[in-house]
Amino acid sequence: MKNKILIVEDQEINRMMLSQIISTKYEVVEASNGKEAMEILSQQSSQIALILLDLVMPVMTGYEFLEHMKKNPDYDAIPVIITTNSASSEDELWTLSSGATEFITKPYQPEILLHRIESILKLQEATAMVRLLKNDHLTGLLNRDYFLDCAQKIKDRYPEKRFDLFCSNIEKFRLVNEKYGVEVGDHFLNEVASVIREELEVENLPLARFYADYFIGIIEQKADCTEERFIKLSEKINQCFSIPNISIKWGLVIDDGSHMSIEQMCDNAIAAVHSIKGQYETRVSIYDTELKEKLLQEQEIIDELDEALDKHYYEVYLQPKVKNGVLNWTDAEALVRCNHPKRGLIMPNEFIPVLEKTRLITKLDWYVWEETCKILRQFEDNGYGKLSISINVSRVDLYEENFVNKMSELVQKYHIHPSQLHLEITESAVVENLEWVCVIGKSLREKGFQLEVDDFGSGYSSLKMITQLAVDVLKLDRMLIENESKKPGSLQFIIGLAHWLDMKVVAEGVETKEQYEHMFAIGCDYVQGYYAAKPMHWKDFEKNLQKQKSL
Amino acid sequence: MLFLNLKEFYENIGQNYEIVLKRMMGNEEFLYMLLGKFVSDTSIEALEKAMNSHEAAEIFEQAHTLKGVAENLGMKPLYEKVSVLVEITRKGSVDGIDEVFAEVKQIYVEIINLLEIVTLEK
Repeated sequence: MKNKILIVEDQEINRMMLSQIISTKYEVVEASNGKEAMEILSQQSSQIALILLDLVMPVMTGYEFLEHMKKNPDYDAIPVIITTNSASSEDELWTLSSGATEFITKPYQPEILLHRIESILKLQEATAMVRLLKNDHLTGLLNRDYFLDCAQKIKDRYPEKRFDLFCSNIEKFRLVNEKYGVEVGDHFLNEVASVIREELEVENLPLARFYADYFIGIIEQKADCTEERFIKLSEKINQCFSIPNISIKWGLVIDDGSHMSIEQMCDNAIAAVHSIKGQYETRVSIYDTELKEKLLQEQEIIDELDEALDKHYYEVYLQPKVKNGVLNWTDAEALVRCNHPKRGLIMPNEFIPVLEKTRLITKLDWYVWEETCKILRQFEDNGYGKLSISINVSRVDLYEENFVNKMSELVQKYHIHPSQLHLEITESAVVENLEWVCVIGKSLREKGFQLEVDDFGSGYSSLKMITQLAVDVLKLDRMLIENESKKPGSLQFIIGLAHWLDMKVVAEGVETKEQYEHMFAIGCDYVQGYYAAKPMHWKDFEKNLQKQKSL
Repeated sequence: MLFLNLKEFYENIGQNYEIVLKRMMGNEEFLYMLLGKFVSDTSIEALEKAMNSHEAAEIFEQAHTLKGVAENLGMKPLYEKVSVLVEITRKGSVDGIDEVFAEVKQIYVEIINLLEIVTLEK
């Protein structure tokens, strides 16, 4: 509650007099010099409604005090009344230009003083209300609604001009809050806001904090390259703050004169900045027809998922694994393709990242797993024996309630032995939460499932990790295979260690005869890749089983 | 022994008592207490010290302070005399300040002497 009045005056008699007058209506805090007053402000600035300040004081003069306090955003809105002896016009000018609200002269006249204080406080309250409504409390920039209103008005007022709109997003900002605490996060946002303000708030164009770490503003379209300007701004922000792995990204909407609404421009700028999430090198994304098309397709994938699953547009493909140099059709990995009636065959890289973002991936995963179980059942029923098929488990699946039990129920439903399902968990999911994956992995293996680490060697995996996490199969990432072709040797050690830990090793992404032969030569148990066999529709896979059986 | 009440004190120094009392929100006790403070106030010593330095800026500052107090307490003759000092030193001059200060001091002593015999009448 702002209910106190701070009196800063070194002369005791004057101070007592002011205090006596003011305490009839308000609570009073006294300071005998500027330094004391600064201390009081730092402790209870939120309660100080107004300051009465004497200019001539020892230790820290009123002038110095005023300069200090107006620099601090926490205090600079507190109104200041200068108490002066019959003021010279110079004093008057100086005090008003340096941020004082008013001045009163000695001798003090209680009615006048109290009346002035009252009217200033009333005005202050009204301004504070407006500020609250239009400003973001953290950074002082405009808030979302006020920005939309302001920007639209400007755009309408100057129809001959073009205004581009930008939106920032701080990559991995969540991590700042988690790692350093919300206070540091807020401070960081504040600093970023002031750099953006300094660089971009030109000609009084509106600038807002939309929400969280999204800053939005409009700038008049000029001939100079807008994109470059934002790349430079990113660099400047990175120079100012040395929080590692934090980078600020920009989404831009270029005004093409089509009279798009500000709100629509904001949506597009946000979409643009989202589209480059995780791409370390890309700082700026411009919303264009290509991005628009891509976003529309992504939305379609999300919107149509249920229907597509119902109608079995998503189909299981199987890629055989070659065991010890022999392709005998007993092991495979289940992959998924979307056979869209209008768009034709859609590859997983077009829909999996989209579904991962929205967690809808779990729906697709369960669908693929169930289809895979049906296929295993059918293969067995048709006399091809008990095959083993690897299925991909997304990281969000691991955090699903009752995941292990549901998995058991699934195989029971189709009378599949759990060991026929190999659950592939990516290395990055393991690294993200090794402890939890160990827990889940242990119960899955107790239920009889086989556990595989997928993409091993693609990121920051360590050999330590595979000694901690008990798994059955290590799938070497294609990067390791490629590197091995260039510089052979290191893989043999990993394979040796895996075997020593009782794991089988699968080489993924094997594309040439040389690689194929080399992998078996250094001890890989399985090879998977285009050279050995491409993924095929499960019905084609069955035809091959049939062919092999009739041999 | 002769005693003065507050009204008589202010009449003695040529000041309308009602105006001063109004500034104190009509509170005689408070005014009396402030006058007591004035007796032991060090503004005059600070001014004297500044006078010895002969630095216009310093004298201005201290004179300014004394002027403010005198004005608030309605000590008209003191306030008027100190104002002369303030105006001379405001422009950085020290011309004739010793004479003015001597007068200031004389008035100050007279006021203090009067204050010694002021009582608060019920």
